[in-house]
Amino acid sequence: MITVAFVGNPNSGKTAWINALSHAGFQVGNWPGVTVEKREAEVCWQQIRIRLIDLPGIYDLNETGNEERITVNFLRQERVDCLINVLDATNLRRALLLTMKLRLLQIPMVLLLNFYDEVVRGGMDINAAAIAEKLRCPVLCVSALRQSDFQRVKACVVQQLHSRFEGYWPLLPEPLQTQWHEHLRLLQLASPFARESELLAQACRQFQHEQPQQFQQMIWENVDSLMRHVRQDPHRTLAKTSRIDAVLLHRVWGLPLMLGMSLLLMMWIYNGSAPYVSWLNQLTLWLQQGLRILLQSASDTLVSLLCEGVVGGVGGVLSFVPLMAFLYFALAVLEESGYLARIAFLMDRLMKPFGISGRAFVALLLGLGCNVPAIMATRMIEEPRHRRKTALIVPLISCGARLPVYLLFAAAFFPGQGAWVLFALYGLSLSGALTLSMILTRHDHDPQPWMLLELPVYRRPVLNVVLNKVRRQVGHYLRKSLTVVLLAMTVLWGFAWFPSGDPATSYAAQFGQHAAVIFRPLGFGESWQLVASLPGSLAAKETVVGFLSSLFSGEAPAPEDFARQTETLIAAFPQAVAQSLLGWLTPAPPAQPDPVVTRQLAVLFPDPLGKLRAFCFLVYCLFSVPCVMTLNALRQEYGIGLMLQSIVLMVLLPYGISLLIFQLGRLLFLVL
Amino acid sequence: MKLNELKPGQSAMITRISLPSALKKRLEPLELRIGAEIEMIRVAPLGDPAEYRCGGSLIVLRRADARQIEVAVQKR
Repeated sequence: MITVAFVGNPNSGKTAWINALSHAGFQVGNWPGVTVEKREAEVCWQQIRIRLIDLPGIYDLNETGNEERITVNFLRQERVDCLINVLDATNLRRALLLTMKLRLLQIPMVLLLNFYDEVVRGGMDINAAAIAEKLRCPVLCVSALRQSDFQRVKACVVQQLHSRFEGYWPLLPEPLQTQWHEHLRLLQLASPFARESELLAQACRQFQHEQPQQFQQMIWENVDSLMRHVRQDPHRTLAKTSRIDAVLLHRVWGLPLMLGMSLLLMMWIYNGSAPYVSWLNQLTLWLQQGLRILLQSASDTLVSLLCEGVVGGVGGVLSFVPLMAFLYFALAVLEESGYLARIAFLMDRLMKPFGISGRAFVALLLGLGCNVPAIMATRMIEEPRHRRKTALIVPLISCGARLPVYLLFAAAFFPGQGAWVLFALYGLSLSGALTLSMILTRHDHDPQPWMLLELPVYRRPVLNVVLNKVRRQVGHYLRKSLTVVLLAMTVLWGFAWFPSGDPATSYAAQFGQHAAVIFRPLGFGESWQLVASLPGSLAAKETVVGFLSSLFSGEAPAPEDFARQTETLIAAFPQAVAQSLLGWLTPAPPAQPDPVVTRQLAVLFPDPLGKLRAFCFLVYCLFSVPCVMTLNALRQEYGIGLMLQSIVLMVLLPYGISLLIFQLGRLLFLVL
Repeated sequence: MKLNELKPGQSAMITRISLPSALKKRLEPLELRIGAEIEMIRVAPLGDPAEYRCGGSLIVLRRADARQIEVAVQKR
């Protein structure tokens, strides 16, 4: 199988290119042993089967950091038939550093000068032909936005695969040139059957090893020589970005603007997805009713398992997919446009008293979607101790999977006040994270070790890259729901059904009643249902909703009612679309979870302290032990030690805080 | 003169970098090396960090780190 590898700087538009050339048919996994993404695809160009592989974005081939090491090892160990080096044509000098080092590996190569549309717009002039001649490899000026370029690239790569490869000599000053020739001659004598290109690569490696400073100097001289064919006014290239930054990074208005935009974004995410979430809940109910009618003659156990356990449980979780999709979309746009790095710039100083750097803040921000990518994002942080500290704080950030729990309880116990409940919970999550960070920082000598941040040029996010990101992350959530959650729901359903078919006397109830003692001081110990739902959250946080949904469900309806229900359901969908597109700016009522479940949940705590108890349960869910996927990510990135620290922290913390809130609340209630 | 003393819009040439080698290696591909030109663009709302232009890249450095880089302002 022919192997073609993509290499290039981060932000060079590499991803959009591999998307385009593989028609988004790529597999994403991890490189073995590390949590760096690996993208692979199989394509067929002009009847040649080719394996496309996307190597991580790097600036250099120094083996500093996982990304560089993976690339170096891959190029050293695997047979690569052709390299596609994607460069940001508007920022050539530094991209060419990598290009030179790649070229010296003597592997057939094609250069893609990407973002060429911006080159033209910015009045830049690149003599691609001259560069191609000096580097002795094809150079294409392309843009991932132009479909016609895809064919050009494919054709060029195929041509490279067919043509005979000649060795590449870099520009060398006189004394070095003789030195290399000598060296090569000796190597040739040692292995007379080796090709010139192999010997050149070997000679180059030795040179780099023996005289690293001269080697680096030679590289820069070659880059300078190539740059002579590029005419650019850096101010003009950066003109658009400078104009936008003058507003968004304004000394006075920068932070308020960021706050305003974040609020607007949160409104869009929440209100825009709410109509779809409600509709999906309706769908779940409809499915349950339909199943009940279908299975009228089947055993009670089977009916309950399918209706409450499977459909009820998994459906309850899946209905939040629109919320996830909107959230991931927003985060992807922030990242692809280049604004996310600006957030790090604006927040760095503000977060200093808490010991959080700008980059760490962005990693924590990602935790609002899902804790797992947030933990991966901590890799960006330069200092190892700071990285570990941030990773420990990430699970305190309330992730998307916890939202369904909040929304369900808000609808049951705080009708009309849902927004305030969410505000309070997220505020608590943020305060908890900042406080923990402050405590952990007190033992550090240097609260803010060095930071290097690059602000990418503002670019319109490429839709297919954003949609692919969303598709992958939502797909991950779906897969999780249909495997882990389904399994957990079935097991939990079993505990709540057996031995008697009546939830109130099931194993779950017995467990709940025994364990309730521990949770009584926290206010929610009275309800065995809530206590019994807690173990499930270890598998995935959403199972709390699933479990409670499966406990509280209705009976089979009459056929006419069902027919009417079907009509309403179908009619409701276009309404949901309209509401989402047009009505998201108005504070809409929060997404309505299953009303049957909500009603039955509300009666669990009839006493005046009911709302407090419900809130304390939510606080407990917020801070309790992260789900297995997060724990696994912690273990993979930072080892078992940190994972165990996290577990201990997230067992003690929720108990303590919930206890405090309930007891204080009860005291206040008695006094007032 | 130190890098952090540059005013917005001022350009200078880098003469010395006294930072740990790990950071120096990271700065190299971003063209922050001795002999290169660097321009100060703006300071963050709270006074730290600052944004600089180096070649075609926009990079952000904290005041503490910028203090370790010596520059010489170009005479017109």
